[in-house]
Amino acid sequence: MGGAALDPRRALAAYGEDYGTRYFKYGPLVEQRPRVVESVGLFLEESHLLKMFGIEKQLVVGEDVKRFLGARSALARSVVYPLTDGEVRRDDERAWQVLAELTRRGFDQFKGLKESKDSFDGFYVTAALSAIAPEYMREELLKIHTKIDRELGLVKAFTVIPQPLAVAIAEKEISCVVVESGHGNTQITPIHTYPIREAVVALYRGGAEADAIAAEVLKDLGYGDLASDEMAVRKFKEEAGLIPLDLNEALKKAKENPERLRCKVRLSTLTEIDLEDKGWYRFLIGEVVFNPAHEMFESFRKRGVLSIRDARLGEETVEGTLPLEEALLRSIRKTPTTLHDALLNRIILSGGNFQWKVPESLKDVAASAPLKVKHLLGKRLGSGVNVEVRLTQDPQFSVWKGCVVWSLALPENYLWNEKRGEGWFKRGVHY
Amino acid sequence: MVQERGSLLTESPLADAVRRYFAELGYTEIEPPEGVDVAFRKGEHRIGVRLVKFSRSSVRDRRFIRSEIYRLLRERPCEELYITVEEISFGRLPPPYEFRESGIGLLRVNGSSVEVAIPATPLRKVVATSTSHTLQEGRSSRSVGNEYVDIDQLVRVVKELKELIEAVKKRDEALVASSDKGGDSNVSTTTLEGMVHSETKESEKNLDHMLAADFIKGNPWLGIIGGFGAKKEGD
Repeated sequence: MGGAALDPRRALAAYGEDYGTRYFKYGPLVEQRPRVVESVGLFLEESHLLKMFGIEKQLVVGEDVKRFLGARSALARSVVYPLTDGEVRRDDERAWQVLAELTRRGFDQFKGLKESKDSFDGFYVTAALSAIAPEYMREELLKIHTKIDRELGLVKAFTVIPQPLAVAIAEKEISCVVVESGHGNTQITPIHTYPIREAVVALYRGGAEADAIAAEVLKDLGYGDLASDEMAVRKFKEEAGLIPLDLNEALKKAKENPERLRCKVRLSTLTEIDLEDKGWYRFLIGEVVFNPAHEMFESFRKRGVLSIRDARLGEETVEGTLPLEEALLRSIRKTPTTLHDALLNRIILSGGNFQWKVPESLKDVAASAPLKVKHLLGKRLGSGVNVEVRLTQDPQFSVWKGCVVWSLALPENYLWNEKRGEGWFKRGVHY
Repeated sequence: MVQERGSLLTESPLADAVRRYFAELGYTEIEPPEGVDVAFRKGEHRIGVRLVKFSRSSVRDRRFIRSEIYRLLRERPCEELYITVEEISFGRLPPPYEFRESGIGLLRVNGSSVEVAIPATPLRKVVATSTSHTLQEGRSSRSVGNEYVDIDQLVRVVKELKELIEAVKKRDEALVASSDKGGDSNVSTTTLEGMVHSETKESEKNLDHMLAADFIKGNPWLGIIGGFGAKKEGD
């Protein structure tokens, strides 16, 4: 099916939603890029004062949250990050409220379409969830979209796909292994025209663990007050973090010549962090996603900084600290033998957590994420094995891209099947 | 007087809290224009903040803040304006509707944190409706500065707008006619950014543009997903 056979009306109504742990990305295909909003909500405490001053809202989401932030002490009980490790707890009402409001607000920005043209009768919406998201999350999203359609009339049909599948679609790869590492988790999903569900391996670690290490490093450097400042930690992580090609080797070289690894990170006009002779810390920030079981992380585990929970997939338990290459091989081994070589040849890394800088002067010790994965697999399997690893072309938005392609191409008459969790959940048929 | 104290507040903890708050929102501090104590900028958007420390007299404070609202409205030193106080006390503040209706916002500083008690409404720039005032001063309206628009220029803009509205009306009529002829009630519209189209040619053009995106063009998944329903339904 080429582009010419596509229904123009569908192309105009294709809409994608990527429910990430940190950001919610949404929008129609016609915009070519998703809109991005922080996945966060703030419950305003009922206050006569606010009411008197005309603020009736009880929940604000996304960037509005910053406008209403009050004392730091109030944050813990009022700010809600709805997704943890890519999931929302079934009974967490406040988290669902935030997710519903984020979704509704997204559509609200496009309600002008319906008002401007009577013939526009709603979007074909594809939402992407983590490959290991529980079934009730799909059900809740169906409810949320049904409610939004009743309110705004903008959801003509709705469906859900796994995030790794969306990545494979955006990358135009039919047989591959997608390693999607976001803020909350890392999902390894072999795909062969559809995700091989039995072979999915999930690790509950991602950008959040790198943040945790970066915060500890800040503390150890004497900037404990900054460790609770999320923005400062993230900036420090992005500026200072490095992926070591081989951690032991990198640490050895760093300690032999600390000046090479020394860097200064300017967090604001007033604050600059100098790593001085502690430049070797930079490697820990990048390594944690690949191998948190390394002995260097022992002290962090003891302090409770790194507590990565195990994932339960069917009968199997996947240890949270399983090295990434082991997890990859475990996943590929669960696919038919005939696919193994093809899958090893097409490993796609996706998600903001694989975006690390490699300074020119440190190329002998630091590596990009694909090079690191290739190195780890080469070490594990021997150098004779052909392994190809690459990053997605657009790591942050590839999930959204896959969603809009799905919205564009899924036939109108392919209706929702509850067992499979596929097909269109449609207005006039299901709600 | 409260006003005199206000001007001394630029180096106070009140000002520091406000500076931190706007810095967190990505604003850069700029030299404050006359009439505000601190000012910030993000792109072309400027926010001015008047810092107020309460005196012993609640009546005098209320009167002062009201006069500040009027003054800020009159002078409009920035596009968005706030009055900042250390606590919200009804006796000392004019009623909330006066803030809301004027568009001047109210910030409350509580220790080191800042809370938006009433969001400000960005003010529009002043447009001179008469040249008499400026002419009396022997200057053309343009010479007063960017905030004033030449009447001739206004007339030209209005004329262009009228022509544009006419063109849109004509086009709309043509669209309705072509839509009726085609009998296709589902022809759709698109983005908020102006991709409004239902004429066949234009629609095709926009569709081509959309489908030329690298992640769509030649994507083998289009065929797989397209045939997906038939295959799965047969299962």
